[in-house]
Parts: sequence; C-alpha cells; structure tokens
Amino acid sequence: MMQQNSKLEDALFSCNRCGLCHACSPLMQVQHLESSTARGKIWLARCYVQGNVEATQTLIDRLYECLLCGHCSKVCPAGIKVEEVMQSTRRILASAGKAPSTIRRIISNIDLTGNIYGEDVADKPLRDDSDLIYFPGCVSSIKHRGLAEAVLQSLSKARVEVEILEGACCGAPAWAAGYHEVFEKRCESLQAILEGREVITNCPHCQYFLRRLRNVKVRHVSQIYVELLNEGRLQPRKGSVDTVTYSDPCYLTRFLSIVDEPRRVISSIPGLRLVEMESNKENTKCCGNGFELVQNCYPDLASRLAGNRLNEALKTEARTVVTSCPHCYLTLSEVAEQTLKQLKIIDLSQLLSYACLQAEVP
Amino acid sequence: MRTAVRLQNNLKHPEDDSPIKDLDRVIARLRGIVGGRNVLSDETELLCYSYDASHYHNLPDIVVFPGSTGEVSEIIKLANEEHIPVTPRGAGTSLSGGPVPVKAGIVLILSRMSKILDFDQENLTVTCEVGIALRELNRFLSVRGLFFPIDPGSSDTVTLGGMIGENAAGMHSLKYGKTKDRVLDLEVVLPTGRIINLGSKCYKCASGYDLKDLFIGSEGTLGVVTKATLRVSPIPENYDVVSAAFKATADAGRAISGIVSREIPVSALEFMDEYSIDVVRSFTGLPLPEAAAMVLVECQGSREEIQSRLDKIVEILRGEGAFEVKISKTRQEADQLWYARKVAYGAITRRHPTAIQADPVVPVSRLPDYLARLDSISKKYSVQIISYGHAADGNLHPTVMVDERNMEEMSRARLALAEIYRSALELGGTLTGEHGIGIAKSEYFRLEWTDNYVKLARDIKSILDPNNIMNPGKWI
Repeated sequence: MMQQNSKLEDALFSCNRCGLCHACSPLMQVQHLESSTARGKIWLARCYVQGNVEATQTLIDRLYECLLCGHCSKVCPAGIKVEEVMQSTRRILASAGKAPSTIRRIISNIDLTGNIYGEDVADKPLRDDSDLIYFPGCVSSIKHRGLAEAVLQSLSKARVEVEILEGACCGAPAWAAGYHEVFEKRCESLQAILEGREVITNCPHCQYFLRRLRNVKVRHVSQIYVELLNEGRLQPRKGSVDTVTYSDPCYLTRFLSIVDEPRRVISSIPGLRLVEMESNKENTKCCGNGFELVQNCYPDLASRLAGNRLNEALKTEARTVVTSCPHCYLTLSEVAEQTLKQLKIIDLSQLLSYACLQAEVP
Repeated sequence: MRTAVRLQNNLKHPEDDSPIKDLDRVIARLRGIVGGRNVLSDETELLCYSYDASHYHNLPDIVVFPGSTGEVSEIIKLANEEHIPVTPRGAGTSLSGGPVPVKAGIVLILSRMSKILDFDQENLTVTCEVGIALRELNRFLSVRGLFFPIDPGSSDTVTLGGMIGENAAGMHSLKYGKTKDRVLDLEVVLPTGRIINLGSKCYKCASGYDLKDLFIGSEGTLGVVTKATLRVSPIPENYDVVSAAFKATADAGRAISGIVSREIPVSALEFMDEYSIDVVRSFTGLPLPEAAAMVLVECQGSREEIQSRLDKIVEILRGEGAFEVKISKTRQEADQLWYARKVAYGAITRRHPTAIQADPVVPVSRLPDYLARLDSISKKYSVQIISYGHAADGNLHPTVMVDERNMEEMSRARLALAEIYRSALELGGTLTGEHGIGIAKSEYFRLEWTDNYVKLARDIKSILDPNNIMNPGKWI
C-alpha cells in the first residue's frame, strides 16, 4: 500500500494544472466549480494523500462524483490517467471508512450476492459444453431485463447458442469505488467460472474488466452483430424509425476503441439514418451514470449530466437515441422519461432485434 | 477558524492574520449581493481556488461569482470598506501566480458574466463580458468566418478576463499582436467600486491619456475589468507551417534571427528544444523529429505569397544547418503542429513533477547567446531547463524541471531562475513577455526597474486603490 501511495503521489504531483481538462469536463458543465474538473480533483486528492487536509464531506463527494469517464485522461498532456488516480485515492478513502454510505451498500451487495442490487442470483456454475457465454451484467440481468432479452432474441434469430451467466457483476463498481479487495474477490469467482470460455456482453464495463481475467476471451455484442450481419445471418428490415443518433458509451469508445461496430449495426438497418451528436466517438460525453456509483449516490447530479447529454441529442434531428451500454441506457432513459419525453432511448440490441423481428420500436 | 483544512502552503497565510475580521458577517453581506449559491466558503472548495498553473498556492477566505457589473461594484465597495483583499481570477491558467490570493480574502470569478453583448460584422468588433472562455467566443465567431486571434497555449481554457489581466499573447502575436493590441474599449470597476469606461470602439483613439492600456496587463492590481470590446479578424484562408529540425540549438537560434532580420512576413515563428519535442511527441504521437531543436514557421496569404515566402525561409533554415525541413501538406497537418506546440507546457511534467516556467524576452538577435547561457545555467545548477517559445519575439519559456518535494533541488532551481532572469536583462531583455510578474518574478522586479519607476507605479496604484485591496502582496 505504501508503495502504491508513493506511485499515486507521483502521479498527483505530475499535474501542473495547465487546465486543458476544463473544456472536456462533463461535471464542470453542470456544477461550474473548479472542484468539478480533473485539475481540481487531483489537487484535492494531492492535499488529502499528503495529509494536509482531512476528508471533509465535500472532499469525499468531489472525489466520488468523478465519473471515471476518461475524457480528461485523453486530453491530459502530462499523461495522467485520471480515472486510475481517482480510483487509487478512493482506495485510501474506502480503507479509512470514508466512502459514502450508498456506495458502501452497493459494494456490500456485490460482496455478499455478487451483484450491485443484492439479488441472490449470481455465479451459478456453467454447463461444460457451453462454447459461448452471454454475460449481461447487473443492469441487463435485473433492472432492465429487456436489454438481455433483446440480445438473446438477436442471437437466437442468427441461431447463435449461448449460455447465460445471469445476475453476475463483473466487479467494476467495486474497482471504481476503491474497494479493491471486493473487486479481486469478484475476479477470482469469475475466473473460476469463466476460465477458458468465450464471453459476449452488452456492457462495456463488463467487457473491459472481464478482459483482466486469464484465458477468457470477451467481446461486445456489437462486434458479434457485425460478424453475423456480414455473414447474412441477421437480416434487419426497415422499421418505423427513420433517423437516430448514437451516444457512444465512454468505456466502449475511449477504453475499448469500439467505435465503428455499433454504427455499422445501425447502418445495416434499411432506411435508417444515423445523425451524429457534436460530442461523439472518442470525444463522447458521459451519460452521468459513473459505474452506477454517481447514479445511485448522487442521483440529481447524474440526472443533470444525462440531461446535458440529451440536450445535445436534441440539437440533432433525431428523436431516438441509441446507446450500447446498459448503464447509459438506464441513466438516459430515466431522464428522458421524466423530463425529455420527446426523446426515446433505445439500446443497440433492442434496435437490432426489432428490425430483425420486424417489430415496431415501442 | 479553519480547522479541517490546512494546506502546507509555500505562501502560508497565518490563521491569526486573516484579513477578514468577521467572516460570517462578510459572507452574509456577499450572499446578499450575489445570492447564496454564488458565494463559496466551504474549505474544500476554497482549496481549488488557491492555485493557478504555476507552483504557487494560497487559500482564499471566500470565492464570489458575481453576475453583473453592478454586483462586482457592490462587492468591491464592500471589500474597500472592510479592507478585504480581492484577487480576480479567470480560468486559473496563469503561469506567474498572478491570480493566487497571496493575502487570502476574496477570490473574484466572473464566469457567470460570459455574455456576448454586441457583434458588429461591418466593423469586425465584438463586445462581451469578460468571464467568457476564449473557446466559446471563438465558437461564436467561427461560424461567421472570424476569430479572436490571440492564442495562448491555454486557449482551450482561458477566459477573456484572464487574458486582459495578464495581457496574454501567444504563438501568432507576430501577426496579430497581444491582447492589448486587440482591445478597443473596456468597462472597469475601480477599487472604490466606481464603474468607468475606457477606450473607444474606434480603431484609433488619441483622446486623453491611454488609461485603457494601463489596466490591460495590470494583473488585477488596479481594478476589475468586466466588459471589453475587441477587434476580431477573418480566419485566414491559407496557411502553411514549415518545421525544421536542427542538431544544435545555436543553429536554430541563428536561423530564427536570419528569418526575422530579412523581414520575411511570417505569422508565427516558434522554437522547441529536444526535451519539449520529445514529451510532445510522446503525448500526441506525431512524427516529430529526433532533434536538438525544432523551429516552426507559419506563413499566411495567397498561395503565391506563401510559396515565395516559404522558398526564402527554407533556404535560410537549410543554410543554418537544418537537417530536416518539412512543409505541412494539409491544413490539418499545420493545425496538428500548432496543437503540439500548444500542449508543450502541459506535457513537460511527464517526466519531472514540477515545472517552473520563466517568460523572459531578449532582443531576437541575442537569442543564440541566450540559448547558450541557458545551457550553462542548467549545467551550473544541475537542473534540467527545457526551452520553447515565441522565438521571433525573442520570448522564450525556459522551464526549470524539478520536484517541489525536494527542497535541495528547489533551492538550486531558485538560483537558476534568478540567473535566467538576470541573463535576459543583461542581454537587453525584459523579465516577462506575456505571463506577467505575479508572484514568480516579484523578487526580480527591481533588477529591471529603477526606484523612480517603482515610485510612479506605486503612486498610480495608491491613487486608484488607496486601501490596497486589489490583488495585494504581488510585485507592486
């Protein structure tokens, strides 16, 4: 831990506060505070890690509000991986028992039941003969089962057989919250179940974190869909929606470089036009979910961030927003249902399955 | 009484020396002026307004976000009445410690005042509140084919107020001048709270003293600029950038001097040394040369004009020993090179944690001598000095790379910095070209200016700011 802290301190000191992270900060756009920016958060972390300040409630909030979306890391000339620096600082806060109580509850759920919702459905053993495992993650397994159903419908239409590992968390929220031991424990459980398997998931966080497991091949459903479309095994038909925009999930684009595949899936649907938002691809703006931590611990902030993202969508002609991450779907659809009813949020798998089944987008 | 948050400041303000006698009452009065949400007194929030992009920091007592000139005036009247220090701050990207509240008190931020108030397409002027970010102003102007052409390295972040306060320049000051050359008219709240307009919306104005220019670059020591009318320019249709790589910095220095002395019209002429090329290459992934120095030259104009200038420039560059000369093939390639140059400051801490950047200017003919002196200063004090900057202005940014946690290294850095400034003055230069004096150069200020200058400056300051509330504790 001491060695880790010294590495962290070095990273914190390498911020020379040039301020290039200001323009891309989604938090700055809604909070308008210096502490919203990576520069401000790094300074707070530096003061705290050096022992110069105490963990006040504001300090804890500002450090846990970071979405870990990685946009500032991309523009940081000093090469600071802000999401890693925030995660390491949260490890110190968490080990001192300073993490917010809502976050502690989520982590306790992961620890005890294997998913963020505390539903006792996780980690069943898999059949020996399953070649392909579908890993829906927490949100698609429990909160928005329709997303997992859409994946299964699309795969079934293409006659792809999968076995589902339902209700299991990849551990990403535990990592993000600084509960490294809980995360490691999740990794060990999943290593035992998934070793030697090929996994597909519709969750970019699950994909990113499951890739850390040994001898497990993980792909995003959009990558599978592109293959199935190329092979002619999926044949979408023209539907009722003619224009959509696509909100790139942060982890899919900035961390996994999966940018073209979802667009290819959208453009495979006859008569469907994709119009881009201003902040797209690697410059996408976070939806506000922040590993479910911001969504649950700071719901008002998450809603404002989602509202900001959706207002950008409103500037396009599209009134249907496609995304390819269950967390984005959850946060964006909540705000669309509450305040921006003119927008419809749809997951990529839903869009594809409706088009393949010739069903109307509800 | 602050108990939870105590920062180990290099400019620590003793708690019992707080400039605000009754903090709660002052906060209540400020909330009455700007509304509760626009006053920060939470100690953690205050930490984030204790710094700029230099290595100086000090905690303010209060941060206030006024929404109008009237509110600024009320805040200043209150501060003047109570003798509370007020330090204006833009986006906090200054490299001199200018917006660091050395004497604590109020940090004043105009980010809520960011409206564009008037745009005059015929006369190419725009009037706006100075809390506007340069990138937002340029976003507004770019759809009209225009831009505000002052482009400091922090142009993605910086606010107009910060640029005016520091008289910011940048890479294209050869062609477009400094902020001062682009500001026609100012609205200023004086340290007594009085509101005054200075300048004229016309391009020329010889009416009375040029008081407007007194405020531009005054680093917030004379008042608070709230609105400005600016002269904007059409976005150039054509420009090309030549990049030339050298095996020795002295060769690059001579090439720069050669281009300037032959009066070839160039719109930018920049210098980067080996380390800055290296870190920028590592961040951007651009194929920058492995070289001791790189010179970037931009030409604007018609295609024919650019070609004729480029021919002459390439000849000089090669004549002075450039081993690689490349001309940008597309606008995107040219923009990438400027982006690379712009991020240099941010990128230099990739290998050393603390960058202490200087901003001296020397006559351009003395640039080769100055580069040689920097080399010997680096050796003498065993500190790495990275140099890059606006070569044609003779304005370099020698940056001493240290670790601020290492006190011994910091003392060597201080000695090196003193010599960096002294050498510039000995060669007929000046302490700062565009970053201002701030805290960073306060101790060298008397090396450049006579007692008479300092007395006059202080007299002016005391007439305008009798209670010394505006950004106190700096060079003045």
